Amino acid sequence: MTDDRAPDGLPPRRADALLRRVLPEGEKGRSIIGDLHQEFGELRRAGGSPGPRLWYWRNALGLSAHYLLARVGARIEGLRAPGSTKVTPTTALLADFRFAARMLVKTPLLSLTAIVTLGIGVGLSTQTFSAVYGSILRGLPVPGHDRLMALDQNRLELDIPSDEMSIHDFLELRRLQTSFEDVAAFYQGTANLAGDEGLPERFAGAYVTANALTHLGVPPFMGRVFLPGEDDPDAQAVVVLGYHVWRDRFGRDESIVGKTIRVNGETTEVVGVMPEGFKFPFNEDLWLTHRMDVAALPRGGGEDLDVFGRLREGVSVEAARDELGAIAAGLAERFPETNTGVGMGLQPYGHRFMPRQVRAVLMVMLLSTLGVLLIACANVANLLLARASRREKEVAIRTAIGASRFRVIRQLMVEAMVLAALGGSLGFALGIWGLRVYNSFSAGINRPYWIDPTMEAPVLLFGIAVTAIACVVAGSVPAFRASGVRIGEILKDQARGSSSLRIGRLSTTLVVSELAVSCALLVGAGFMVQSVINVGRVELGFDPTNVISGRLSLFEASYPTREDQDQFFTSLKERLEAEPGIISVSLGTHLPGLGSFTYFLGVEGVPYPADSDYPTAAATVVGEDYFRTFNVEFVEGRDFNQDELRLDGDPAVIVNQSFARRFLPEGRALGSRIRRGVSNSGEPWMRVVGVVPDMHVGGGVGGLGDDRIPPQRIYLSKGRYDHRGYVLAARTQGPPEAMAARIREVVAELDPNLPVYGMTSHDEAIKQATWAFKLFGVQFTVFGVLALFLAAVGLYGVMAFSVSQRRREMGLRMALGAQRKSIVGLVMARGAKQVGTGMALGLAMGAAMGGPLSHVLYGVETRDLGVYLMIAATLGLTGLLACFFPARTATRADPMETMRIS
Amino acid sequence: MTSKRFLGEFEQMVLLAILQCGKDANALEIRRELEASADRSVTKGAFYTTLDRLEKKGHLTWTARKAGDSRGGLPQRHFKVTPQGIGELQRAKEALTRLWRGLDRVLETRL
Repeated sequence: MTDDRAPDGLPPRRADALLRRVLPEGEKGRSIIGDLHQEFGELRRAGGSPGPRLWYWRNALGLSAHYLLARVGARIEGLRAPGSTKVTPTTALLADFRFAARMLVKTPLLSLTAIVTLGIGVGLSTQTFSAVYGSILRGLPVPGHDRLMALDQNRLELDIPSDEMSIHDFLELRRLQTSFEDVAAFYQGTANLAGDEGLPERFAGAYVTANALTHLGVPPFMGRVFLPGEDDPDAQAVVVLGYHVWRDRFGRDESIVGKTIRVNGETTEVVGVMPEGFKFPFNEDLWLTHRMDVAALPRGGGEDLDVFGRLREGVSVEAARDELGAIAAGLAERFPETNTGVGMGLQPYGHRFMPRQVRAVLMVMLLSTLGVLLIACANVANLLLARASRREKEVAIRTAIGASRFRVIRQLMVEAMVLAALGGSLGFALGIWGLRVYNSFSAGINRPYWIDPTMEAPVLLFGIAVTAIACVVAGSVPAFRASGVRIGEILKDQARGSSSLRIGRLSTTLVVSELAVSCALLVGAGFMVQSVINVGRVELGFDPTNVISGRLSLFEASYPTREDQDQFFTSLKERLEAEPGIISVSLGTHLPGLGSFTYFLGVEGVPYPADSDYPTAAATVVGEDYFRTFNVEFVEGRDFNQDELRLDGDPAVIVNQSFARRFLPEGRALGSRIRRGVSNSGEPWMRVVGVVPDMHVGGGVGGLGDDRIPPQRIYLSKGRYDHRGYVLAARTQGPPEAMAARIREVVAELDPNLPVYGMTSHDEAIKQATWAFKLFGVQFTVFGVLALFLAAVGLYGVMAFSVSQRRREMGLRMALGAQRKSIVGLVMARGAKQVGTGMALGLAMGAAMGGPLSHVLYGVETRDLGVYLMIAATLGLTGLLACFFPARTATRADPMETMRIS
Repeated sequence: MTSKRFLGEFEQMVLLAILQCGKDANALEIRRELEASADRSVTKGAFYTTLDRLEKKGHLTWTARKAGDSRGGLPQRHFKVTPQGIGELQRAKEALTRLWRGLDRVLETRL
């Protein structure tokens, strides 16, 4: 609704656009719009109320509806042979439609309820399906994407299910395999562009083997992709640009191919530009070749690689898995030092970047929405049943004068169809809106480039199918029931007041299932809401306020030695700390709360029977003042000293309290020694010099699985580890965002070619890191609340109907002296039985849902009785309220009146 | 048989309102005349579709002219009842007059 605002004094543009579509073409239509404009101007000048815009919209909608109906009417007339009164199948169907439309208008409240109910069901399921389709089912936009696999290694003995591959293993695999058309590899990194074309800028880049882009089979937009040999160690540096980099940074320079630019400080030739939207492997901006002198590397050294390949036609995943297993076994035999216990596996490429947990949640979400749809269908079926029972006489007369059962069913089905079509249209509108909300919620997430839920053809087909099924489910039950009525009985006496349709048991079953499904959904929603609350309450163990952070990565070309790197970081820290407004500055590979490495460790003096018995812990490489920057006090010991921060200094380590408690001798943590790796580790023993409180580790995708990351954590000294990329964190006196510009300036003063990227306050970064809970929490809550609402409406409808049918009975009871209380009790007892049965079933279903949901819950025990009790109370109360009002109506039955009718 | 059909009530009122407005009657004036004389509100949809129907039956014609800024540069239609339209009105009036004959007193007493 953003561009609806026309310049002052002009009517709403969208209303005009609607009119232009609907009104007759040419001067006739334009003159009608002109009339409206003129009146609109007069209204504005008069300053009448309601507002002229509202007036305009109302009139535009009214006019459009009139013209649309006139058009449809003309079409229908056109179908009928001129002057003919013969009933053909077409005219009979048209008559059914006309009659259905009349019924729709005749019972507006019922129609509206049915349409809105179906709209909610169809809308929710369409929106969720679009998210599932866009995220899981559609796959990558590359040829043969369903055969594109991610290949990895595993060390099952060490409980490592998936690991990247060394370049040596990759080359062996490429030589030996026969299952794939080809295999290629990459690692993700960043690339710095600096040159005459603009300020230095950092981009996400993939360093790929020369065959990678050719193998994917997406032709370049301009120029070419890499040629064989361009990944040789002495090859000239070449780059392929992403479309948006070419567009935004190079202003769509048509002659870019063949030009040289500076990439990571090196003169590099642009050989091609990829088409718009192509960002393989994840969300890349450009591609460089991975130039590596493999012969000069020790086996297993160099960057670890992600490997992918497209299965040959006709080769099954199992056959490929067997071959990979055999290759891994062969490698283990030939290279026992590096490859013992190392297996190889594969998975669809899309799964590599879409964690199992997220896939599980999306599927649970889809099932939940289908549950809501089911409830909606049950409600509409009940509404139609109720309407059908009021129309028993009509149906009976139709049958008596010769209408076949088929004819009656068709009439009732056409009515359901009209409702479903309107409900489905509303559902689509809701779905599009919901998708917009979903996308805006997940907009800030760095997600794989192919995940982009939109309203595309398969989603529309799904919506249409869902609407059709809803129509059949909601329409057929009442239609078949109503068409089977015993004519004689109805015609004999309608005044008895009890319906001969046996709708009682059927309605009850429908309502019980509604209650069960909504109860199960509420349990799911309860867990998700509890998770959201837990995430908000998580004990961080550090102070994230007034900290700003940004990422820096030094280039090998500009900082070839460790001394150069250290010197840069030291002067950066000094310069920044001299700035007014900055209290302290530190570097680390990860910020607290935002992930870590995970290492195997051994404690000196502890016997470990097997390599798999070695413990693991989260690990972060940190520089000086890391703890001071986050306001963390040492429990024991001290921070790294200058000697320990040096490359060849004393090997030292800082551990957190959980680590000390779990793995170190009590009271003697300081001075204990630990070492990275398992039994064959060549790492030095590191002395524990300090113990710090636990700081939240974090780092799961969207915060998912964070609560299962073990709290044991160690901090390694920056001196001993060769990293060129760090996160810079600065504690500020005032609002941290205010320092962002100054920090960039200071970095630019030291190195004008070095960009700082991802600069944000730490508060904000932590908030962003838990997007999944926000997104899924909101979704499940919406499902749960809507399901509860629909189930309550359904229950109310059935109870109200049943009371209206038993009015005479109630009147009789009261005439015979029954108290109001006992009448209310009678009705409520019946409702309570349904609520109770539904609830018991629903709680059991909810408990079953706990399994798959547990992947995405935060600190929630799915056997926690509290959630179940709360849901039971909510549902029970809502259910009883829905019964109470009809029960009260029952007591208003006037005994005299009911007796008179009898 | 269709030619023997009489004009509908609303159709008659629209044609009469056009005649009341005189030469150069435009849609806004006609509608206001209708509302003022018949003392009823007229929905725009019903009004314009009736104009279309009367045009199709040949009872009225219109010409479009350029209009001022108040209409956003959009044209304005001016309506005229055709001789055939006037004939239909007369036929309807005669039929009604015949039916009314001698009934004035009866109706007065009923009131």
